[in-house]
Amino acid sequence: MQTAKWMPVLLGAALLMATSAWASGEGEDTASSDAAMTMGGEYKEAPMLAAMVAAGELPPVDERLPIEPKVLEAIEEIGTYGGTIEVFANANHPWNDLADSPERSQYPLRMNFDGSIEADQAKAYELADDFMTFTLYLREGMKWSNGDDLTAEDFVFVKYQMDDHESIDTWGYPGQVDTVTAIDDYTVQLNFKVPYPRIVLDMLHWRGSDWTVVAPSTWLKQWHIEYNPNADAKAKEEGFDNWAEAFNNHHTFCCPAKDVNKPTLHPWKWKEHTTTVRIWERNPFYYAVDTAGQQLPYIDRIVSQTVNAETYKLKVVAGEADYAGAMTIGDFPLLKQNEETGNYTVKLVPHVNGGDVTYTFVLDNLDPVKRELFNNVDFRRAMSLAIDREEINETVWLGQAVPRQATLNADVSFYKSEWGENHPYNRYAPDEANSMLDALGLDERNRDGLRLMSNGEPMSFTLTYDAGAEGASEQEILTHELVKEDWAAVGVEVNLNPLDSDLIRQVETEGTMDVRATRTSGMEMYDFLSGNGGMLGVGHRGAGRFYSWWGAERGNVPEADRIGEPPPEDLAMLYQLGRADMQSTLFGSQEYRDVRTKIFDLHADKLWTIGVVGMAPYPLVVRNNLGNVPRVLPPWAEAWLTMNYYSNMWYFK
Amino acid sequence: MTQYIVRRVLYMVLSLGVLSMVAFMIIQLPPGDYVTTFVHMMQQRGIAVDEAMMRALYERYAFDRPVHEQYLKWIGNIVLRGDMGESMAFNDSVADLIAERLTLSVVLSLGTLIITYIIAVPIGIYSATHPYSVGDYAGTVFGFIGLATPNFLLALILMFVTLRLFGWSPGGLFSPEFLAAPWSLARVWDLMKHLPVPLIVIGTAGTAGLIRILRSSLSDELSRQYVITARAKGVAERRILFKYPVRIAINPIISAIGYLLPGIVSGEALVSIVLSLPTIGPMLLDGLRQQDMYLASSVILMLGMLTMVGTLISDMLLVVVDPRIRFEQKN
Repeated sequence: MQTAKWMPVLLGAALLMATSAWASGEGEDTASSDAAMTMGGEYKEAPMLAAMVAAGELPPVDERLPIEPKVLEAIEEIGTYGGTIEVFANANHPWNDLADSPERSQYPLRMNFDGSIEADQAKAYELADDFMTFTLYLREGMKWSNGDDLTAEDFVFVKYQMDDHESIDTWGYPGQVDTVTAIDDYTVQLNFKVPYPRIVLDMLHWRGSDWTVVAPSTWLKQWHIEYNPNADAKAKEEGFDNWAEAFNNHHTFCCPAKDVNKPTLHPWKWKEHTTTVRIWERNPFYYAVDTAGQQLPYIDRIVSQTVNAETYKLKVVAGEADYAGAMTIGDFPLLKQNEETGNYTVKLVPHVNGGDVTYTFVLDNLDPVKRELFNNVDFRRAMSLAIDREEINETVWLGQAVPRQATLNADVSFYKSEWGENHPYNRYAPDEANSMLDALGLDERNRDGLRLMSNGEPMSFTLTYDAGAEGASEQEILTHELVKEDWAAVGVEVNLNPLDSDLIRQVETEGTMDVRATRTSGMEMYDFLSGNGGMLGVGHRGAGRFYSWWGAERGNVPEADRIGEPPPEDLAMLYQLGRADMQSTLFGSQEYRDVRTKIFDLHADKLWTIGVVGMAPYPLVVRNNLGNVPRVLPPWAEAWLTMNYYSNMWYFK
Repeated sequence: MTQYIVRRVLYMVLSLGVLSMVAFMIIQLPPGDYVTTFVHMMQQRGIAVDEAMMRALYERYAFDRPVHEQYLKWIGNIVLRGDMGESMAFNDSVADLIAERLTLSVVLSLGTLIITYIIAVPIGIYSATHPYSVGDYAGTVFGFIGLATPNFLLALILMFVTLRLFGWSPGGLFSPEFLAAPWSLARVWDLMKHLPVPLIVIGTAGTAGLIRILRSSLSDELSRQYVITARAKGVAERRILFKYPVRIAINPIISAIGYLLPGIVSGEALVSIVLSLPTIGPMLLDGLRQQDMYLASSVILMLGMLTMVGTLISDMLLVVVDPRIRFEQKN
């Protein structure tokens, strides 16, 4: 069996210390004070559920839990039952703050704060040494929220009765999965077409959830024609045209689930939702307990209201939110001022973003003169030297971000400071930048002081940033303004070009953008090939037309759809490294770190993407009596995956 | 008269058909569609959606079909079954979503309307009958401030001030415990408690405008000869005022009824957005922004229909009220 203990012990220890340093009070043991004991039972349950058991509406807790429930250790202390947690979702992106399921759920596997991976929903897992087979051992007696057993059939059903059915909407298994087999009721085996070590990471998040690989098959079968010959009639009765439409309607998982009765494995299940409020209530069949034998979660109910960004802040300031994280560093002073009246504590949580503002010169620019310039590493280095990062950090980011190049965050286990903070071109040296540009033959200037390119045109570029609803924050736009001034000082003009997200996606394959501003992720488990946030301008869609070449290579894009010229050699090398990383290295292994070190060495050397600041913290507001909320971010993943991950153990003191 | 109405209704149906097409096309104009919005939203949360998933989404929403086919299916369902399709962003039927918000929109708009009239009409009359008095100046100052202050700004200020002074919960129309509760007396009372701020904010500009209109048209009317004649004949001042000039001065308000209907449903979108009120306006904006095409098209279609019905009603009222139009019809 593969275990993935890879993080230096020191780092783990540091994180744990940071966690406990925040914890107010000395973890006194308040276990079981309010917990209702079941008659002669092993486990304890919430009073709310005990009442239902007494009324005969629910089986006793011992029967609801698996034979071996998952035992979770509290990060601060053992909690007590009860309460409703009130949160708000920012209408522009109603995803944060427990506002949707992928963010507050648990998955087959989990990653601990020290970076080690262990089984969670599953009892155990096994990845074959050739990375061709992955086996999940399920917990016997574990149940969906309606009381149905979770069995291997729930995984097999998705593959063969949903993925393979054209009329059923599904995201399904990753393309690498060839077959899914039930070895017995509680053992599922996945066989791959190609080596796929990343399956371990997939099982840590939504890719291992009921969005994709598992479904409440017993419940869903009543709408499936192969299991219910009357499915069409049943569908008509419910007002649908055919069985598949009815099936999709009951199965739809996302945002929000259409049928609130769809069984779940999460700590809370849907109660109801409207366009302004979403309510969840505890799942009586949740499979995990704390070390005192209390069934989790502690909190009875989540009420999440969707409000606009300004109201969101006012709600938080008024002390109405028990937990809030959807704000930027610019809001910190306001939040801090109102800490006392709002009865909350606000902390700046370090973010794992490698770069909060980064610039990529579009390498496949249609203009041959610009293309030649952008592909010259000395040009990119000179542009990096021209940016006064310290000033930007002080004036825009309250001095809280880190002036650095675009790379992984500094807590990553194999991080080298020469990639980021101590990068040779992470300095402010306008004179040096000037002489480098002069040396490139850009020494002639026009009357406005702009340098002239080889075709006699002044150096004037557009700097495109996302102005959509989830686009650039106020801080990012101010940073662009300051960089514009810095670059003007060395004779290069950029014109800010805010575009809506959809427009950006449209033009990014046209080779018409000059400079593209993005955020880059910086997490340890960063998925090189399908990462988000522009991926240093090289992975995913950020690579513009090069992406079509790589897509064709992988068979995702027809050869005929390749556009533009093939990627330059050094970029192709980066891509090959990324492929190797995905196919042959196990997360946390030495090879994994070696490949990634090469990738980011290459990034540092070629400077395809210029970083300005990164790792900017964001304010996190937590109600003073809300316990067990982690206040540090592990370096291995994005905030959405980590902060709320522990919500099943949050409790009201 | 009947012929006139029949002809108007026929025209209305025709223009509704055209409107529905335009409404549907408008959503298709900007680049991208709901799937690209969705993929982008997922990416912001660290979820990378690959090609296979995108294809699944395209099929699910039938975006792979030609636009006219999508349109015919949508409009066909509306005409035949009253089914306006599914909202992609809310994952719910559009009819349900509109119904959910319609009540509150109407309550809010009607409430504002009534309050506006209750405040504006007496002040307007007072200002016109007592020009250049202290009261007139006070009303004028209030009126200009109300007209000049942008509503959204006033909304933000009031939200903050009421939070600080009275500890009122900012934004929304309900306390958390009543958010999803079925209607009950307690819920209505809770709604009443949340109404003052939105009513004041939305009502201010309207009130101010109304005061100005009433004051000017009434003071014009007051200097007419029939008023002077009536006064000379010794009719009581109050009787003169309310019997003729006020009734005429109120006319422009009544003729605006055509725009009242859509206004009641979607009015004050901006204020609703700032105050996070669960009305139709913000939902339409979200629908447009996220390219949630069935939701946005249906709301646009509905608003268009209400405008047309409103115009029809006001035209018919004019025929009834104004003899000149009746005579024109006869000739």
